[in-house]
Amino acid sequence: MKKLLMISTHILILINLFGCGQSNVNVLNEGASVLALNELPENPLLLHPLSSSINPNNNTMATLYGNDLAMDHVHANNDYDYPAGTILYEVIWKQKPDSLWFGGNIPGEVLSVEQIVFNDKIKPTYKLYKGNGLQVKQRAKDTLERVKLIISQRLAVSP
Amino acid sequence: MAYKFALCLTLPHNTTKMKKKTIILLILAAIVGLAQFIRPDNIKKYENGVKTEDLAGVPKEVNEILRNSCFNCHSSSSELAWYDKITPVSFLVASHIQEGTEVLNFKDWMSMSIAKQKAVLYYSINKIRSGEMPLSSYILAHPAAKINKNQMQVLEAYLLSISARGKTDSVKLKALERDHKWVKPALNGIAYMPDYRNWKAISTTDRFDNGTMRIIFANEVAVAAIKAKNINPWPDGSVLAKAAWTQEIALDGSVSTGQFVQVEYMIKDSKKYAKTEGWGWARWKGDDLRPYGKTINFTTECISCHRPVRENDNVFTIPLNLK
Ligand code: HEC
Ligand code: HEC
Repeated sequence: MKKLLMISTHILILINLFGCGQSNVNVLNEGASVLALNELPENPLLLHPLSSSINPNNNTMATLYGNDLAMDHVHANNDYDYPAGTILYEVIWKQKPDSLWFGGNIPGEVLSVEQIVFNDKIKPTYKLYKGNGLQVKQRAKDTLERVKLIISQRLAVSP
Repeated sequence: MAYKFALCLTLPHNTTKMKKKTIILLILAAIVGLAQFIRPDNIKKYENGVKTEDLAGVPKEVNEILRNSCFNCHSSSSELAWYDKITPVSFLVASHIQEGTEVLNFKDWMSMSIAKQKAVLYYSINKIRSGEMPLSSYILAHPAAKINKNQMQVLEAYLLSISARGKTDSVKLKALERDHKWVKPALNGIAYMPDYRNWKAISTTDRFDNGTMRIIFANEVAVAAIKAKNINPWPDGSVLAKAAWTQEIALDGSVSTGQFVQVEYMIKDSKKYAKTEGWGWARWKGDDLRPYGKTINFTTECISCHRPVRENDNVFTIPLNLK
């Protein structure tokens, strides 16, 4: 019995070494993904991409995501008075060179996720998730500036 | 093999082995010698061609590298080695030159726009990186044409130096046109798919080589395939869309999406599109969504440039994990 077990584990190891596992190595950009929610209420990468930006000074790139309400609003309006219920996420990545095309940068690790929720109050709420595991962090002082900056981003317009 | 057999039969039996060998060699030499009268027409043209001038505006070191490794097949003048002119080698050389100049001829450098020149250089450096250029059969006979590490660094440094981010016109925000019935299909019959803005983003790219930024979208079938990590090959029904915008630069140096440039699609159907690597390719350009290409063969251009990633089912993008 023991022998049988050993032989079969050996076979399994062999299959793993030479078999189909190999082609799966780099299929997804795991490092740039939100693999565990931890304190995040949802995975922002699954929402609608509204716009994208780059900060060459910090070598970062960002995508602004929004829920359905946000998407409907930016498609129909030119202003930033998002209706109550709108949720926006600004996801910031460290950039890394595209290994398959010299001349391009693609998302590396996720640096932070910022959430903005519009409700009945005058000021939307702002939350920052940062660091390994994207834990909630207190932002020192420029919260209002950040909110303004994120909200003022325009939709990447396509015909 | 068959020749040798035939030769042996015709030789008298009493000739010694040594003699037989010499005779066979002499006959072969005679054949090769005679063959020299049959030479590809165009090789004569290339030998005597006017020397292609240095690429204007490009530093000397870069010119030297390209001339040394690429011009023989990608310009109208070729500096051939003596053995390139020997039949049958000359036929191979001539066909390479013919094919090479058809797809890319540095002689036309001056008639290209600055943007086109830059695109050609970026395309070239990526063909070198993927090991496709110079052709490996050519390197075998011309080892000096192989691009070494130092030369690669020279090319990369030059391209980076000319790719500083530039300013673009600001863009007016305009309400989206929902009805896209006016958009003409691509020349290969593929219809425009307006829905992509509702799809999920699987990556973004910052293309500093041509000053654009892109969002790559995937339809539901493709997203399901990503979740299942089943994307090599992508299942039939997967559609990938890539939309590109110019980079708009603010005073503080931050970059946002400017003018819409184009949207292009890869539509997976391994049977219907078997002839084009299992993908249907299509691109629409500008705010008026003009179908791209002059003839139905515009897809060969897409496939050539995507060839370095054919092991990834011709897809460059490594998607975000959308779990
Ligand atoms: C022996 C001849 C030969 C040499 C030398 C050579 N090429 Fe090519 N090249 C070709 C041929 C033939 C093709 C078309 C077939 C193909 O893509 O494989 C081609 C295609 C290309 C293409 C794709 C063009 C298109 O529109 O499809 C690029 C870019 C390119 N070569 C760049 C280079 C560069 C850069 C060098 C030098 C480092 C180089 N080539 C050296 C023969 C050559
Ligand atoms: C000069 C090279 C080049 C040519 C020509 C080209 N592509 Fe691409 N394509 C790329 C690169 C590089 C990417 C990776 C994303 C990026 O950097 O923008 C890409 C990505 C794509 C994607 C997203 C999926 C992927 O592979 O990552 C689609 C869809 C696409 N191309 C369609 C087309 C179509 C359709 C054509 C022809 C009309 C075409 N491409 C011609 C270089 C090229």
